[in-house]
Amino acid sequence: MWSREKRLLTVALLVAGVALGVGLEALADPLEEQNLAWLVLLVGLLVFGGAVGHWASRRFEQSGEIDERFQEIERRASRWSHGALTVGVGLLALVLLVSWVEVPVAALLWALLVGSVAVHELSVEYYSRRM
Amino acid sequence: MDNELKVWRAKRDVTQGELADDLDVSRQTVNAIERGRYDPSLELAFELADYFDCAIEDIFEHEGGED
Repeated sequence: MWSREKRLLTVALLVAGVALGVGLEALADPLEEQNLAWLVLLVGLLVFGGAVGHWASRRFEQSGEIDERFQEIERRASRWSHGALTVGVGLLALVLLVSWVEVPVAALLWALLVGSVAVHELSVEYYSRRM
Repeated sequence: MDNELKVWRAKRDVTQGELADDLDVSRQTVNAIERGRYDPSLELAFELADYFDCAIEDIFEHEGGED
């Protein structure tokens, strides 16, 4: 399983990614009216994130840390986080459809996204201790 | 599923880390198998049998087997 150092490295990469995104947004602000620039930035960020993720995954695979047990833990954790996200989005959609209550949709969607990541991490921790 | 992996490992005098390195899995996985917390895939079970030059049944025993 992941060592504490690698978890810290992952969190550091995540924070760096967010910082990069915020920085790029600030830089690109003058270009806000040009949608193409935004699109290029977005694609660039996605490609960068994908490349870093792929590189990290390959390194962990080569070190033998991503093995079949790890993949099984990830599979089970993904099932929980996916389920939580689906139920959350479903409930939100239900509320929007059948109720007249005004809800902050964007904030709730962000909360669901963060919540599903938290569920995933907690599940990984739980199954790592059980298996 | 019960297993005798720890016994086989002791016979060969290899550590969990060495076995894990040779099989390209993590040491935690070897530990989890030995403690019966994780049942390996058929592929890994075959690799373990090959490693110790024995049959899979010599290492692993299905609970309630021999029915």
